[in-house]
Amino acid sequence: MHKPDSEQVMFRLRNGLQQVLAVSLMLTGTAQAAETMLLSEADFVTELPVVLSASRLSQPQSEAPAAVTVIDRQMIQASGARSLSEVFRLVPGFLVAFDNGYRHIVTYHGLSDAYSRRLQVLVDGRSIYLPSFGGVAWTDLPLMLDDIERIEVIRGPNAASYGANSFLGIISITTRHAAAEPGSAVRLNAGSNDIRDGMVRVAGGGQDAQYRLTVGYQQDSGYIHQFYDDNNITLMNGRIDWQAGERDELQFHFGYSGSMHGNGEVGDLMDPIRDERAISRFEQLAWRHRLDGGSEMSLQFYHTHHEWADRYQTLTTPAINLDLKVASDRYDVEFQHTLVAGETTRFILGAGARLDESQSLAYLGTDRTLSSHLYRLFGSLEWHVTPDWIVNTGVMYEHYDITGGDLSPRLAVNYHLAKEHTLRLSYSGASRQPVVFEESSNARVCLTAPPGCALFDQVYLSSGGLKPEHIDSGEIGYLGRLSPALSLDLRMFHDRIYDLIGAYHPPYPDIDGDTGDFRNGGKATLLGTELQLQYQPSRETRVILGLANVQIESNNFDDYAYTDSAPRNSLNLLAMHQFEADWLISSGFYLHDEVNFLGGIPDPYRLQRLDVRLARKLHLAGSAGEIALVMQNLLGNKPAYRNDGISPVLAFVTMNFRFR
Amino acid sequence: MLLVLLSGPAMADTRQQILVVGGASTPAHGEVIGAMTGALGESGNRRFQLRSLASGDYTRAQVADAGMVLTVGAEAAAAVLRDPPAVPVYCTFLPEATYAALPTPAGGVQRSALFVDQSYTRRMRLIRQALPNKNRLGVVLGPESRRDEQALRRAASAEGFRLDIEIIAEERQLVGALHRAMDDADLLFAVPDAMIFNRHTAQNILLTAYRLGKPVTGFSRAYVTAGALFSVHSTPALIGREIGETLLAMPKVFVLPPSHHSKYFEVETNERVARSLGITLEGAAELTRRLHQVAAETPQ
Repeated sequence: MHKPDSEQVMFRLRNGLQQVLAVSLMLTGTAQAAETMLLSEADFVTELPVVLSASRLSQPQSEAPAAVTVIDRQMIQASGARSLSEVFRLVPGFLVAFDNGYRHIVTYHGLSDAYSRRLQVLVDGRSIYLPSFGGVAWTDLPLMLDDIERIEVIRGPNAASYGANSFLGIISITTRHAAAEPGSAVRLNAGSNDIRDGMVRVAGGGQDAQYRLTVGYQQDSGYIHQFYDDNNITLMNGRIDWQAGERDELQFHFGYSGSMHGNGEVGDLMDPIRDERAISRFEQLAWRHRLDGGSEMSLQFYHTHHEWADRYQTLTTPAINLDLKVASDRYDVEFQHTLVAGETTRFILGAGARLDESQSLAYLGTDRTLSSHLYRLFGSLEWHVTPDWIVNTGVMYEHYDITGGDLSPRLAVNYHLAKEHTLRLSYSGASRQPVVFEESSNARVCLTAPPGCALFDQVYLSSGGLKPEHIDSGEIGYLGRLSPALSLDLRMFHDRIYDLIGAYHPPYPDIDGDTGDFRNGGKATLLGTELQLQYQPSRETRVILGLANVQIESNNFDDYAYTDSAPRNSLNLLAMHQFEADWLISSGFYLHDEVNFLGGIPDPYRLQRLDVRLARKLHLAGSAGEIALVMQNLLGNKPAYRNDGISPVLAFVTMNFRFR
Repeated sequence: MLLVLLSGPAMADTRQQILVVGGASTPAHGEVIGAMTGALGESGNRRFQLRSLASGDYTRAQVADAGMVLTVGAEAAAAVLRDPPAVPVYCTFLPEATYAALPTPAGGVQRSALFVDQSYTRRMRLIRQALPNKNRLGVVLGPESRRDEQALRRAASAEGFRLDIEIIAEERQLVGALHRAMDDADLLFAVPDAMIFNRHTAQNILLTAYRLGKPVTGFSRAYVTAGALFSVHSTPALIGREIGETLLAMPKVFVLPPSHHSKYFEVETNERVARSLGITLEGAAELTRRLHQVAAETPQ
């Protein structure tokens, strides 16, 4: 027997009702009321499509297979950060340093030089570590802090979910949906150190499609006094979100940043002061298709391009012409199928392919484009065995041109000891593929212009044949709410890392008698504890405390002081309080023990940093805004990594308005 | 069973006649009638004779000997009150706002209603029970629901909530209004309005709120299934049961109770959404029990 579709019936009913009411209202002479749609009982009993399906909902922290630190908008703002890299100080075990004003270094558990290569960094699922040198060019990212919705930092490897390079940790940045803040907004920053920033954003659209476009400018005179390391950055990014029917969703992201960085040092003949140019851009298209029963399919494609252009002449006699241009492109496509099987099980299956291209005559010794291909297959399972036991397991198989096939497994078991108290036990393995520069470097200084080379200095020459680095990580975690206002996240980990890639210096017949090459050989065992406390006694007050202790044992292969590359103890504290409705005060305090970056000047460096922000909300006709005074680095600490500079105490005023 | 009751014996019948209009429009209306006849039971069957009519077929002449007209749904209520009979009209299973917008029949015809929706007080008490620390509610009102602004404010002030209200005139203003309403609010309080909360907009509303990390309190079971955190609602079966009991409680002559919200209701929660938002909720059964307890202690 044909069963009437109750939704259709309800719709006919609504239409019928409108007509009946219109007629009856007209009869009683209140015709204009009939123009508004009236509710019917259908609005209370009709079925709706499942919008927040199991595959769309993010996993709660108590069920996640790893320790996660979430940095939300309130924390970003309260931290007083002006650039993205600075917010990672809020994560236990993380360290933020500056090679100079535009090369920011974000590391987790050390093992890093100026290019922190062992973290995966994603923006809306787009991997942004550089294929050429590894690491992230933080200041070149076409992304404004204002456009970030939240940042999740996964502490520990998780290659089974995030792929190559998800080695020591993963930073996953989610930008705001185009509809998140309709209207327009402006921000202006001005302060010491020549800080002059501006931002304009417009966002709008209708029910089904929304857009956002942000244009920004950032300027400062760098972090190190005696260096020429100032920044002039112009950037733009945009996003279109289109709800194409009840089942399909399309996202298009794009961005461009062009910057001019000061480079060189007064009086250095080989490194004269000059401007270096950097360009970064990306395009990304993502499609999500909802299936019945909460399952979902998604397809994503992106392209990123990054280049540094640094062309100059040395002040030596004879003068040498140098062109230190480095360009890289990444093309990536990924398909993912999330399958929801009943209330207890969720599978993810996927496949992806990536093409990385790098070009640099100066560093790779060829004007050819060096390409590498990476293919991946992955699957994961989230299984609620009982309401109290959750198993997360997954595996990623990757095939890389240079190193061949590689398998990264993961297994985590979460047990809810009691309501709001969860214990987690997990094992995760990951690998890091060598970057192009490690595998194929040929960096030399020639006395003559190409073609041909009258060799002056062979700085790097890779012999190749590198293996990927590996990590096996085990952890015990506890996540609990000790009172309604206090939550705690504790993690104890043991990482065994081997085949670490490092540079060494074999003899070479050039001016200095040696060159640089890369080889596997480093080993390190990391043992540590991290604690994160969140205390929010009221809506107005919030305190976040992080403590980390890490101990590194290593063979310090090739004189790499891996053992000293992370501070033994570190602390991060962020406190914020709102008073008298419109006033907010917040302060960040950061402390860590001595650390020596790899490749840095061996001068143990400790940090004590205090940032303070005082803000007042403004309500002007038709707009909401805020004016704030931010004082950074009040204790006048050095910028780390380099010991030959003094980081200035900074103060700037930031003002923003939203119109809608 | 249902058919027998509704058609009834045609022979000399001394039972009180009730004309039921709109009881068979949809499966949901059928559920109301089913539960009603169940509640009436044998004693109801001995006392009342129910005669059924589709809304479209209603005219005043059809009332004939019936001592009362019982309408099920908004369409039936509108049809009957457009051409009102001389006997009392009990309008059931329709939204309060729609009932309020229906024309008042001339000549002092007795009418009252049993609403399908919940009072704001009841809904706010649920929030208080489920999320004791949340005090600030974001609300978007449309052309229809804006009439309720004062009622909403009264309920909020009595229950200790602060409201962030946005009022819009057209659907295209919805996205912006949602954001403004949720800026500082702890959760979105969905107020029924055909322009704002409908099948087409549900997706946008639930996704927007979820992205902002704010829960939505809905007004129907369907909203919870779709992604709202919780809702208190009266199902068709509960409404039907209350109609039956109300009829049984009536004196020999038909005297209608004042218009009211159903005393029967249940709470539905979306555990998955709660977990994902990092919210700990009591079970739906416990919340239903507590809400009943509060209702018993302090009538709304």
